Amino acid sequence: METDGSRPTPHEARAALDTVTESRKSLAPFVRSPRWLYPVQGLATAAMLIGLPISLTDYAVGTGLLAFAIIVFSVLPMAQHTPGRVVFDVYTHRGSWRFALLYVIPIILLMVAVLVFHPIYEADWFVYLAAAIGFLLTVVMGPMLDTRLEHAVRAGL
Amino acid sequence: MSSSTAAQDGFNEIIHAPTRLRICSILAEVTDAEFGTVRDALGLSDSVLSKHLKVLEDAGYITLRKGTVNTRTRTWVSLTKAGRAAFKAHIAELRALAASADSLD
Repeated sequence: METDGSRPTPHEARAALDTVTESRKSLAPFVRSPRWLYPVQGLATAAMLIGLPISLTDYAVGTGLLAFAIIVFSVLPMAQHTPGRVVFDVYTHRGSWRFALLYVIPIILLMVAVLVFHPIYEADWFVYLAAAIGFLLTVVMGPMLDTRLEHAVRAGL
Repeated sequence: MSSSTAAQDGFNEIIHAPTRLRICSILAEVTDAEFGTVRDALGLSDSVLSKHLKVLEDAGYITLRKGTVNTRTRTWVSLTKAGRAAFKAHIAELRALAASADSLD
């Protein structure tokens, strides 16, 4: 390949790519979410799972819960801006998005389940059970997602 | 130097400067990062980091946003859409150059 004076040689390009990888690795110690993040996100998820079907029968309570969930989900990205950390998107980062599907897909399935089954069977316990599962999934899987991302960053993926 | 003149094909002279390449490598990974975190992660001084961020900001590759946390002012840095595109193109060009070395070996 022809190069001009300002362009790196192939070996310099390789060294520059190594620098990029090393710089990415230096972020690993900063991959940590605030402790309150996933419990709060779990509560919002539970509120959404209850609010979705309940809003069809009890509009005030249902929309109130949905509004709470929407506000929390809107504020969470900004509230994470605490000193000494960087903000990763664990759901889209190449080191964690596949693992994130193990959390996102069950949550979507729970939403579909409460929307389909609650109007048919009118069983409130099913909605509360789904909300509890959604909360637990978030609280358990959230830190696991962070750990997965940290390992990926440390490995330079 | 404008970003249009800095970039030839994918290669970008503004981004390729060693310190700025390291800064962009970090910013490309995250939604945004606090100034102090970038400084600590890369082991740079405040003045050196500020100088390079200014160059990237003038090129339209990053945005700086100030916010207050616990009464202290913090600066958050993020790559712009143009910055992400330029960095991605630059990395692709470096890979192409490095691959040419592999074919020569």
